[in-house]
Amino acid sequence: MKKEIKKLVIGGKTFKSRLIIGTGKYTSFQINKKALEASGADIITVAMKRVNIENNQEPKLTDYISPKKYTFMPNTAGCFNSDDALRTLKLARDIGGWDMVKLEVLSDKKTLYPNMIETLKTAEKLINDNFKVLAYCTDDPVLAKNLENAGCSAIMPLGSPIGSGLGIINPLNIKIIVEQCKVPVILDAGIGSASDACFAMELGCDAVLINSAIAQAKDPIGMAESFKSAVIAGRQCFLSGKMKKKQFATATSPTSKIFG
Amino acid sequence: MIIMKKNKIQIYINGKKKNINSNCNLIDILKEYSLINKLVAVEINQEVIPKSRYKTITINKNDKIEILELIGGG
Repeated sequence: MKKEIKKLVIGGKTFKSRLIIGTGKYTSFQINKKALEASGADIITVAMKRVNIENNQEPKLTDYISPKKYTFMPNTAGCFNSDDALRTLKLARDIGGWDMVKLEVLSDKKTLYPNMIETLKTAEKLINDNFKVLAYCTDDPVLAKNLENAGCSAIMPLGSPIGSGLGIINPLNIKIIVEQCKVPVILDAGIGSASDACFAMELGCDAVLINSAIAQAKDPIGMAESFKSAVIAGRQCFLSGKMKKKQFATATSPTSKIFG
Repeated sequence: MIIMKKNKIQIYINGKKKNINSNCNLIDILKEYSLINKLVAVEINQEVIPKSRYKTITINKNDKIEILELIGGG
């Protein structure tokens, strides 16, 4: 039973933390680094961009966060079609040999919802090219199953739109995806607070990916610590088996009269 | 700049027109922009060029070179 496994295993590789950290939107690389250390995460997502050839001497993410210390997982941010996503990830693999990738093929700039038809098509091509694909997807259990059947190494359903902080708006679907899925389910996008992350883990998600909620907090380092605790607590709660909910009260103390 | 008085060719680097010496190879281009041994990847005309081939790749007129690097992202 994969849900009994204490450590997170993705594509055959084991990770000690179930918290994955995005590296966008931080006010400085220094704060990004400290928040990452506070989070205890061992996987980070990174994006790709064209080198500014007119001035490429500005500070880089990798001056502060080393690929030797953390597992870098390139994403396809900014890709609105399959070809761009494929190109981006092949280039990323050439930089650091990173074959574990977060695939996101977006469709609409307002919602940043993924284009699931393009995502599925791209995932198949990447898997054929020996990538380990973690696919950002809608919370539709049917499409999530299609991605799993295509050979994705993990399924990454959104809780709510990217960067919205709205939390998990359809926990029922997330639970269905968790229950049907044999590969890890990583809640991605929309988490705003530590309780959202804890809830995701209580639902049985194997991990959560957090970016904006930490990067845009007043104190990103403190917030990273809170997410670390929340993810551990949520996982422990899931593994421990929650009590069943009841409509009416059930006394916790004896109900017989003390004085006859 | 790599620009020479003669035997120049026009290419595109990251979408920008550049004039380079016609016998330049990819290493020359990366040297020009101080990108040797940096965490970058190179694509020429939409084909990823592995680092092992940098020295042997010659640049042709109208080649479209893309040089990418990492940035923060979620």
